[in-house]
Amino acid sequence: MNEVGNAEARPGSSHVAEVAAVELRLTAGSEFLSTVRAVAADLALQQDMTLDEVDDLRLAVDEACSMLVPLAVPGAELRCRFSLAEQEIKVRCSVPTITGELPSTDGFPWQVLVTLTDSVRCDVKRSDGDSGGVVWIELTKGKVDRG
Amino acid sequence: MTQRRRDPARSESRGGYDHLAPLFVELRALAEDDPRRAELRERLVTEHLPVAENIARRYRNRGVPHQDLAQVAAVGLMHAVDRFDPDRGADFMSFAVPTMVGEVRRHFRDSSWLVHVPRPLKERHASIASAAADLTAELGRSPTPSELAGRLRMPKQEVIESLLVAGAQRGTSLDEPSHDDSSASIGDRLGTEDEGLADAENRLALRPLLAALPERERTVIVLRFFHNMTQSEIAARLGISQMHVSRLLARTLAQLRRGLLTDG
Repeated sequence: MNEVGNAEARPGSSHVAEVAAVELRLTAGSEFLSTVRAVAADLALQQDMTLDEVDDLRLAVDEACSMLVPLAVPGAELRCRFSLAEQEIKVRCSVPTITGELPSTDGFPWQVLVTLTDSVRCDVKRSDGDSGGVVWIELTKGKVDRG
Repeated sequence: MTQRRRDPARSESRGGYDHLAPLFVELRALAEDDPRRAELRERLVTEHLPVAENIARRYRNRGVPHQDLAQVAAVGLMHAVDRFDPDRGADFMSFAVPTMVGEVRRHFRDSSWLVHVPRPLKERHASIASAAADLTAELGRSPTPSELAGRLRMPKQEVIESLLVAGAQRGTSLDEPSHDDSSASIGDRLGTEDEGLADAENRLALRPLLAALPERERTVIVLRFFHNMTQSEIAARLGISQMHVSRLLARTLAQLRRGLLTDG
């Protein structure tokens, strides 16, 4: 269940250098997602993304968390780690789940994520604990060429 | 204050208006073209005005002048007088109060702010919205906070804070002139046949959900997620602002999500 330490060394991560990071931990409930949306928008604005990109990121994070919340062990903690780099923001949302089943990647919600981001993937990290494993969705939103 | 049944001016309790109840029966009994209709209607509206005032006062200090709210509540009162049917057995107040409250709430939702925001902030937002529209046209994409700050000669942090406040004002109209709300013509501008969409709808089992959406919401979803247009492109195409598109998308996605969940 120790996600944070893996953030840099994760296989398959892009080679973009992380400049700063913000991590949120909150009870996995849809009523708390407004906090995640507000943080997503603020960070994207602080990173000087365009208004379109800011909204895409906010909607994408909202969608990703909304996919995870129903999978969560009741009362479990949803984590959202915003990793800021020069040209992009990467967000990894994760939650301990009952079954370890992944969110569906052939429905409309996933299409929403794909459309709103530059890359998105999901997987499960199995653990020996009583939960079915920590399911995560990681998405990246880059800045367009400002030309 | 003692409240007496026969003294409507002193009383805002339901009891204070009971003596007017027979007038509704009388009003309903009159023929459509009876000149006394207008007279009775006016009397009923005027006598009940203190109730409209009272409702308007409950929404004071939310950034809308009391006079405006009193007028909106009075409009609700007129609707209530026109629609009330004494034969249904309910008393007028239990019909009229929700009608007036509904009218006031709609006013907040359509043309105003749900919470009180100091006026300078609102003005600042209006200037940001207008600069954003200009810059989008010039750059061919939406601007960044730095670009907005440069254009407005405003500290970037102020721009960001203002945009965040605007984002928190979901469902309210900050920058939209009311004609933006005409959804009827969007279908014309969009065109109707769309084969790629039909495929996607089938693949994603979206058809019933999309069909349940109002046309404008459906259009925005289709353009964003099936035609891959940016919010600014959609805004330009539909003649509304990017921020408006943003609010529509957020709201509609949440709505679709609920639909997808309940449909299993």
